[in-house]
Amino acid sequence: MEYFAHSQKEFVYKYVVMLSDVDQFKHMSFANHLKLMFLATDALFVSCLKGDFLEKNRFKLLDSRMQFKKQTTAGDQILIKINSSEIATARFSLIYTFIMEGSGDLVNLGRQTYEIISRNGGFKRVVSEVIGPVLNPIQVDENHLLYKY
Amino acid sequence: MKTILLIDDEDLVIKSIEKLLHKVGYKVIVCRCGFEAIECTQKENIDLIICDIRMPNLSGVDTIKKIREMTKQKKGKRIPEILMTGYADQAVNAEAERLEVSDYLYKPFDLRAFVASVKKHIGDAE
Repeated sequence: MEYFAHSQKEFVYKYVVMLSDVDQFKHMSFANHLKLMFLATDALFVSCLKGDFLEKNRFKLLDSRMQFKKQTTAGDQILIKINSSEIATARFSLIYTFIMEGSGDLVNLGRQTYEIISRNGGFKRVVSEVIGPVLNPIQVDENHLLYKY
Repeated sequence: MKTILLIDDEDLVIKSIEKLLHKVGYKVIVCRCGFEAIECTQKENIDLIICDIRMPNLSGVDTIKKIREMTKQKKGKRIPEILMTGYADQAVNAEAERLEVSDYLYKPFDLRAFVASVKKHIGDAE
């Protein structure tokens, strides 16, 4: 059997929906889904960036969007797959695919675009130079993916 | 024109794949559950099956097993299958591997690679 190796090149973050995440109707709110996107981003950078990178640089969010597809409730296990896309000189995008671990149902599609700014001087950093090794292995061509983010 | 049976319960996936395969030049029959797909394979002449693993009522793996059983009973030729899944579950992976399907894809996959796989397994590879 053959596997498409590139379709497995992704960073995966797992989250279990807690009682504190749900509203009076027992559904996780849209705001919490957004929060989850940022948690997954933090997990990616904290686990993949080495040394004092985060002390010397900060990420500036330029654009963030999300397409909500399915409700989740307390106890649901959500897998958030992150891929990088459109890596340019001074900016890059991350695309997020939220799926339910048990059923494989699509929960959300998200997209964020970032710049990297030096804390010392506030100048823009060249993305490929500073975090290329983190983004390149999970890079996809967004225009040819199954979902539109 | 070759016919592809697409079995998935997710509208977004159906829409995207159906549009793409039409564009490439295949006839696509969509079934939203395994039972519907089994019925369809009895009526239609299918050249390739693309099936999601996680579906309500009958899973993709069980659907493939039943279709194979029926094809074998009729002494028909085995139809190549491509399985799709939203996540990498080890138990499901192992089951799919035992099934020895033609290909196995993780969503969200690259559509160009997907078309290449379809062409390869349907017998239209360049």
